[in-house]
Amino acid sequence: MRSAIIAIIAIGAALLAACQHSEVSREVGARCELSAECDDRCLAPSNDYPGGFCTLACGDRSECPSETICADREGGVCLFECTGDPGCAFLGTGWRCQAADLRGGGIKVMVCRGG
Amino acid sequence: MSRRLIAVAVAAAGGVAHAQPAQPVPEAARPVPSEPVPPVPSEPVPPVPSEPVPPVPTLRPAEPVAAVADGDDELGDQGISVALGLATGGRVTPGGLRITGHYLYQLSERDWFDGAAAFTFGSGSPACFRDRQDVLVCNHGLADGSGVEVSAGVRRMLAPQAAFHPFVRAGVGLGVVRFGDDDVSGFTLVLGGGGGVRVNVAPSISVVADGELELGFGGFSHGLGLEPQLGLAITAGAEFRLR
Repeated sequence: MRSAIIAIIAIGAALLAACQHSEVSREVGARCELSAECDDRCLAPSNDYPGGFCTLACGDRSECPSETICADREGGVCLFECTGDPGCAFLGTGWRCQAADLRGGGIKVMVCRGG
Repeated sequence: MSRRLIAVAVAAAGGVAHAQPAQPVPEAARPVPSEPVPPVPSEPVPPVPSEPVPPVPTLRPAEPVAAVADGDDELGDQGISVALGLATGGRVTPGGLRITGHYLYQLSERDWFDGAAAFTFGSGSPACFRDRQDVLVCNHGLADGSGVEVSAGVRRMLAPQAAFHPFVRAGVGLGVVRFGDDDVSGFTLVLGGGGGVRVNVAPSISVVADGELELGFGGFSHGLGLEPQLGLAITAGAEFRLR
């Protein structure tokens, strides 16, 4: 009986761990080299996008998922908003919190990008 | 007088002879069977008044037993079923249209061996990506992927509720899973448990609806490794008596 309970708890814990939501997705944030690895666009690996960056093309802020903003780069792409470098650490080494133009807004915003 | 003496002497001699142990008789000396003697008609015996005899149940030829409501539900000791429904998956558990075939074999009064083959047909849309640590992650929806699973288990019939015959089922299954657009495949081992209800609709035919929860693990290609399996399937179909 005890071993059965332990087994159930272990399975539950494993399932719970497996259900942890990833911060990145095929939409925005995943590593990539080709667009086929993303839902929309792949910003190929470069100094600006270390490891590559899956993103969505956008015309304004409303077209980007939550926690991202439409930056006026590469013709308009969704990038993660930030307030400081630690906020970009989850993207890996080489990513920093930097200013960029807001697409269609005429103001500066802080987004995660390389360099 | 002399005749009476002779008769008494003969009678006495015969009685002594009968009292002696029988001597083996030589074959040739055995008496030849005589012609059958016709029976002598006897005097009719007047009926003797007797005590009243209680009636004795008479034996009659067996009559066909009419089917009763419960008897109609019996599946015999073997059956097969085909069911159609929906399976929900997620991540690397396939989901979509579920077609299941069962083979049932009665083990005891309440327990049946339940062997099943389940086919799942879901969308093939891609949902795998490399996270920032360059680890492949798959985050498929509820109705993505396809799979085949063979399982063996036990179905226990519970007490019937009017025309409904509820049951519970538990088993273990082995399967193959495929997410085509991601080119990801895997083998799975799952434990399943659930229940359902069976209703007889015609001789040897029942309608069955059931639900099952599956938990387990699968080993996947492309470095995905060992991943949990968690799915729910709800199906309905028909069960047929084999014999």
